[in-house]
Amino acid sequence: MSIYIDDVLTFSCMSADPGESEMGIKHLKGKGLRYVPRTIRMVQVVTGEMIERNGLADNKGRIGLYNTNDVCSLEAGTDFDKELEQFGTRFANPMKVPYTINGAMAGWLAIRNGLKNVCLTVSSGRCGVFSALNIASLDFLDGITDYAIILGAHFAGEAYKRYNILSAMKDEVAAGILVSREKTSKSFVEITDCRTAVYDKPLLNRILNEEPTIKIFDSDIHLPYCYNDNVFTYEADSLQMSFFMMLIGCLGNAGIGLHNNEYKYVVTDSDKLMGWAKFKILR
Amino acid sequence: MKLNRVVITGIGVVSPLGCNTEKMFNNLLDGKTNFSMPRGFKREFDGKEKLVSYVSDDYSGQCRKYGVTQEYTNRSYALLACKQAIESACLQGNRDILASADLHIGTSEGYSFDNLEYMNCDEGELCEYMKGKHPSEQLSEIASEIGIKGEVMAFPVACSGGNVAISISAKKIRYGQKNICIAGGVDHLNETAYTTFHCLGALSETSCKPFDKRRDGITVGEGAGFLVLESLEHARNRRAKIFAEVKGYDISCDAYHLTTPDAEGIMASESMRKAMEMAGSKPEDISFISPHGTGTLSNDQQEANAIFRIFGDLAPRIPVSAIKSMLGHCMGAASAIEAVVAACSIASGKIPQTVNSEHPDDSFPCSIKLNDYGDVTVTEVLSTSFAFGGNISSVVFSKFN
Repeated sequence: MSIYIDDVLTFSCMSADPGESEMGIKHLKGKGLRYVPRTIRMVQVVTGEMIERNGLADNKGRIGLYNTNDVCSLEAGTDFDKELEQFGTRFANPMKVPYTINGAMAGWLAIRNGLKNVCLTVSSGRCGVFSALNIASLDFLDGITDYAIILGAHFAGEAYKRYNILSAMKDEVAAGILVSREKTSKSFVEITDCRTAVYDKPLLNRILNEEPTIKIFDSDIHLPYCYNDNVFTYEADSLQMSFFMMLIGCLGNAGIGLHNNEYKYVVTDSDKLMGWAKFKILR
Repeated sequence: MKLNRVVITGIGVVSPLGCNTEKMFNNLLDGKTNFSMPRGFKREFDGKEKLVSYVSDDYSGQCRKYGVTQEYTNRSYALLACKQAIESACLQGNRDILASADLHIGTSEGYSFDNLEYMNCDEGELCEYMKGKHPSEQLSEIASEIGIKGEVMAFPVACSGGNVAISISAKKIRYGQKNICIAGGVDHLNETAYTTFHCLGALSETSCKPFDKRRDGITVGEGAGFLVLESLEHARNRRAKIFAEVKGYDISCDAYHLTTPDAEGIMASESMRKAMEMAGSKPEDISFISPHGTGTLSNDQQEANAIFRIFGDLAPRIPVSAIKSMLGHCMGAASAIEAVVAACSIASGKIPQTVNSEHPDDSFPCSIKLNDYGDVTVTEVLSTSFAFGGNISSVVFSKFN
């Protein structure tokens, strides 16, 4: 079943507080944010903006939320453990406890934005976006959602820097994709297939060699780790989701393509997992 | 679009009352518990630690039997339960079918390193320390050891993880994306989980007493539960034994509070209703409810309200089998173990009773039938689970016709 991308958005605020940015001022107003980690506040900016600028405020009951960052509680968890070690269990701040749980990000976003539908954290390493897209398509088939907001992020806190010690990417970014069940006037990408699998070299080669393939014409699309000029294969990078978005955003806007505007994007998570998406540029 | 029926053809479990399904189920029917004091914790907890529920002593024997490294980790628990499920589905050695399967795991955290060890590790040793601890590594290792080459993913949504994994698997099979999936949940008892609930004031002073007027919190447990789910056609083609059918499911969120459910139980009842609607089940069709039943004030209030919303006048007559009263709260494994128990109940016609709960709570809109079920023909089971962040998942299991 095809699904359609209507919007992509990234948010980065360097080392400033997310609430001080222009978008942050809009989407991080009000009380109850004192103990909310920076990571969650950044992703909230993306979620809130995506709902607002796509006119989905009256359709919240039909939006599914899928968080693909499977270590989003790492910073809060390590901070809390340090606090426990320093002060003991009696004096640790219980207000910080909820954010030490992995599902807290998706849950908080659902609460903040009033999203009472599917609210999941999907973990498949750096292939998470493909798993989330697949689950979103199944929820569309079930008829329980019409839209899916798929979220990913790369954070720059101390715990995350250590987790991503091998990554070349040091910047901090929160990213989101809005997917719709049916083609709308905003749809600019049609995803025709999206899957992950356990890493398997013969299968990977089959996927890399089969149609569609992509050829880059515009050197302004700066996408490192491109292994050849036919397909993209990204290895071990936690920003794969924003690269995917940058790719489809650039391709969608510039209309660059080879045959029938069909493309393929493949990610390998070292030799553990792999994921791929096949898509068409609609305009 | 033709929708495939989804059936359960294999079950496996690692639990505080037995590390095989027969032993666990018999102990549940006998109303046993396996609560003990925590072992090896480094922190002080007000000078009084609360009871927990470790996996039973037959774990080592089961590990030897199935060739699983005897560690008290998510990886070992999940592997053991998966291998049991594969054996009970008569799929051991069937490389082609296993290679085509997807693996879905509900759990609490995606990674498995100790936070303080991780932060104190020298940068030069960090890569070595983290080997095997990344979420993707854990998933691929478990999948590779079983022979699975399909899609593998975890749902670190904690307490409802098992039902979420089962629901996602059922979706894939229902719409023909997959013929077979292995789904379940796992969590090992660690000091972090215990501390989380301690700091929230959610641990029982004595032991878990679901729906009891004196209930005062959870008993932290551990374990794993896994099921082999197949399309009916695929199961019939290989003449597989069918334990039960997954007829309906729902995943949603009450968007109320990160750690406390909405006491009114509105979204909880809505989730139950949707799962039952998908299953084509009316309230009178449900043989018993396998609730989340954690023994906290808020969860059980919510659940009682939700049960009354759905079942109305029928509610006092429907058996409610809250097995966390015996197993403790096994976190990400909880709803998966409850699914295994539902399958056993459907297969055997017997329902484990709730223990420790003797004082009805007058604040509930109806009485909750926790024991003395009488003669019940088990045909359909409604399983509900709720997690931090407001995540809700409901599944309807039924006898296969």
